[in-house]
Amino acid sequence: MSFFLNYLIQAEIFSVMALSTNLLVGIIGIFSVSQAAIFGVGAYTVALLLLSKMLGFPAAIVVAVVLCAALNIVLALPSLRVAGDYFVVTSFGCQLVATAIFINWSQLTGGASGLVGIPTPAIFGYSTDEPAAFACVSTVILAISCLGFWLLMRSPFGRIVHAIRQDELAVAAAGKDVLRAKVSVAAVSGAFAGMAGGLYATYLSFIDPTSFDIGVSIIILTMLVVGGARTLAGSLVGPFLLLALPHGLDLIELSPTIVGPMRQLIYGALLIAFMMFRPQGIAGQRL
Amino acid sequence: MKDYLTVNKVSKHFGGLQALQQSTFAIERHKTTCLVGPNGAGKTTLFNVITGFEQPDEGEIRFDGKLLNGLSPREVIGEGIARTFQNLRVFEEMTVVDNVMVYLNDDEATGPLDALFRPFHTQAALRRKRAAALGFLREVNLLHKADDIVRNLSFGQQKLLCIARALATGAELLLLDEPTSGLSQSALTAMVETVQKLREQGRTLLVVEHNTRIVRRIADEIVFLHEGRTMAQGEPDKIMSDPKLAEIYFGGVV
Repeated sequence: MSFFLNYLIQAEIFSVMALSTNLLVGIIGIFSVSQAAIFGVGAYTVALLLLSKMLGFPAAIVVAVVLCAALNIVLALPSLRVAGDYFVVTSFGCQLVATAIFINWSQLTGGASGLVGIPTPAIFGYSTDEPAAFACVSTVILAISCLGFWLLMRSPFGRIVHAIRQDELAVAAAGKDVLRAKVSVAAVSGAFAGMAGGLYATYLSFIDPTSFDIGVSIIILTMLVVGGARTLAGSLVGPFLLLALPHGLDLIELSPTIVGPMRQLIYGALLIAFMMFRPQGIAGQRL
Repeated sequence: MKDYLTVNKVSKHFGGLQALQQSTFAIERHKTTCLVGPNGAGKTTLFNVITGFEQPDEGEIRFDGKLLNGLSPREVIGEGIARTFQNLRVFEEMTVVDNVMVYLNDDEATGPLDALFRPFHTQAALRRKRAAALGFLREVNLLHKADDIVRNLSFGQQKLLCIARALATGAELLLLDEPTSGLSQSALTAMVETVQKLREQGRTLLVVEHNTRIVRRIADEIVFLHEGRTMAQGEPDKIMSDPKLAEIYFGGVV
């Protein structure tokens, strides 16, 4: 049971991250490879607030959401000037800077050894030490994220955002505020990443810089490609499927030295295969 | 009064290329003015400087007395000028009606906060916008394609969609960039009928058009542009019977 709940919780956390990435990369077309950096900022923020006992879990999540929304706007700002491939390189730079900060600002982040003993969330007095209780929290947060995503996509705002991806100039010619839409999407995407980060830190109770490096950004993008971009279903299918693989490998008796590289190999192969043979993913559209 | 839109000594260069040279003309309200001239005469550049996509190097552009210089495309549309593009710039992956909805001059519930925190209000606004957008599609005879993905439309239908989008902005002055180019005979007929309908409704149109037969049918006035200069402005018969202009336009073969 706890094996299944462990899988469920992690898949839910990464589904929130996939929704965040879907909004930014899939829908408005800001091709960021620094999503793990925002995820990490959310995780470190909640971890530090809880470890210092400054705030409770709900308040810490709110702080992480606001901080990540603001930071993601800053990271997305170059996209107003540079587009396409150039932005990928810019965001790659942002990701490297974030990793360097996670590793080197050791007084705050614990450096390469990370932060340990992050307390599990206590929500209005109820502890979530049991995986089943934590699964309730992560399910609620995923449900809120899905509802938010669905409402945005069904609105006039959703139409403007889709239009911006296809032809920004034509949206300006329609008299619509492209800047406001981009900033808004970056903020919502950042907010989702902040929630996911906070959940991740409190669930594992341990975080270190490798949890939020460029490799994790690539894994999140792989989830989006495999699940399928631009749809709600795609952001759920991708993480649930890709995380089933390592959990499946755990079931087979393999030495840990093989499991790690094997997982990377499978992810890489999947990314190539989907890009070549099914660019729209399982339940979405071509990125 | 020929002072609805005035272009006064407007110049624009790109590197060594002088696209517009002291171009000057004015258009009248409720009339259709055709902008004609050989390729490279500066017609599209003129559209770009009027609509804020490019800024003129010198000269001034006024609309209903208000100076347009320095305004962004978004601000120009706020003043009441909408345009279509020669290369369409439709949102291919979206439905026809959604394309029109993006252009709709109705900013009610267009923000993300409305979508997230006032969902019922937003859905009501969405239904109203859809109904309005369908009205514009009816005007260009595209109502039956409303829920089709734009990529699946014919070129002629996509061009009609561009007209519907421009109408949806509620702009008083419509700038149509080569609405008939590249169309099959039947699509051409549909487009000319649509433009004529707009003209009969009393809309003000500025149209880039190459086909002289079509120009004769739709134009109240012609502005003749050559090498970035306004060579002449006047009624179609007068301009088209001018042998000098015909020589420029047809390259001496009359």
